Amino acid sequence: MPSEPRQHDGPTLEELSAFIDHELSAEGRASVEDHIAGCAECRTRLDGLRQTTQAIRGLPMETPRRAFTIPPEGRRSWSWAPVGWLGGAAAALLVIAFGIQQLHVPGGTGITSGTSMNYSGSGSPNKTTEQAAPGPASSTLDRFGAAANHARTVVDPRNSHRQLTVTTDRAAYPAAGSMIVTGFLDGDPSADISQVRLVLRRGSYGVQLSQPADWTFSGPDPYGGVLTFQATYVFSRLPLVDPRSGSYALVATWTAADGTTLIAELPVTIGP
Amino acid sequence: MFPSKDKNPDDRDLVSRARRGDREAFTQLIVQYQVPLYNMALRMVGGREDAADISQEAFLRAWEKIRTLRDAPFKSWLFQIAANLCYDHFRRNRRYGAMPDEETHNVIGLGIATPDPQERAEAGERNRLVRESIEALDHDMRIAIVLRDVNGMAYDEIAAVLRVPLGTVKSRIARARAQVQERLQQHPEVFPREDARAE
Repeated sequence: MPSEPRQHDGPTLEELSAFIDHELSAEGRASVEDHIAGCAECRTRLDGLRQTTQAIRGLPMETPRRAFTIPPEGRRSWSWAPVGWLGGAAAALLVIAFGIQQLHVPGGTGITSGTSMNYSGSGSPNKTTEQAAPGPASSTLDRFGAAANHARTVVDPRNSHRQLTVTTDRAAYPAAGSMIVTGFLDGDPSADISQVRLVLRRGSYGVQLSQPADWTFSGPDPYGGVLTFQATYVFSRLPLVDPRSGSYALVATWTAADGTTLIAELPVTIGP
Repeated sequence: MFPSKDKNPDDRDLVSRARRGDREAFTQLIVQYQVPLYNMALRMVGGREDAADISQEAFLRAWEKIRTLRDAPFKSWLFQIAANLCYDHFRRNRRYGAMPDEETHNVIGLGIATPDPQERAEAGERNRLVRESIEALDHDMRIAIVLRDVNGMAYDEIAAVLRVPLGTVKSRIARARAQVQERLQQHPEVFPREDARAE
């Protein structure tokens, strides 16, 4: 049993544990290595600790289903922005129904984290082939259009559970800013991040954005699961053509394993 | 107490801007840390709602106090706030955190696809046992092992978060692993002993 006191001059439990973590001095590490090379009992103890450590490290990292926010200036209270990625389309309909003014934080810049979409609920049975959250509405946006719900969802017409949703943290950005893109691939247990392409397009010229490194798959659920991805892109690092300011489209393409391709386009404005 | 060198140099600029009131910079910090912070809270208190509440409150307090942050690394400081909130949560509830029992079998590891239903079921059972074993630890050991094995922090970072000596961190992690191992070995059908495997 690992918690037993050592019964010989081998490494202690703490030393074996720190050995796994590379937290021993070079001398301490060499000492442990020397010992376990000739001690089957300690090798077994070490392997047991390693197995335990791997089991803990193998626990899934979960994505919070809320966006964490800071309140508008001068306000201590805040409101949750639920992020239920299972119901992107339903939420998009809600957004349409109630209008973005209902969702915009009053009196502030509406800054939210990159995953700040007001999605909730489960999939709607009344999906259409394309549902878009409202685009920029100048009356509700600040100078750079800090919309909290800039999103587009497209639905596979042959399988309404399969949806691609792409969102940005804003509708418009300063040229020196950065854009947080969050996306959801719903309803496909074989969804993989390698199936996603993101392009920032203006007219016939586009810049392919690097593949999001931050992604997670939760599922499968009765609808196939959800792959969530997120990435931040700094405009100054993108090979955009001068003048860099103007109207763009963020084009997200998801080519599923069966070849079905969903394409979601989201208008994005880069200001001066 | 904090490690002197910020291990994430990208934070420095964001923290510097956030200290001047730049909300967008702080929002980027939220985006950067929301998943690790939430998962730390989740493994500590168990329930997703509680974990989300703690994460939100930690970010809020960090935003309110960021002007007081000088040389300490933002990450350790933020996790220290969240760790304190976890302890507050335990004090309020006077119980050990209950692990989430809903839907967790539906979550699989980052970047791992296991489409086979049997594999998924086995992975779900393994994860459930591991979560319960962590839940059974006392709070001090639990947070040490969570910061190490869930969040991947180095021992000096953990010492900074918990404000305890390095030796204490080393000891808590080792004892926590031993206790988790002992509990897992009660389920040899899922976690066969290493010495049995060798036979």
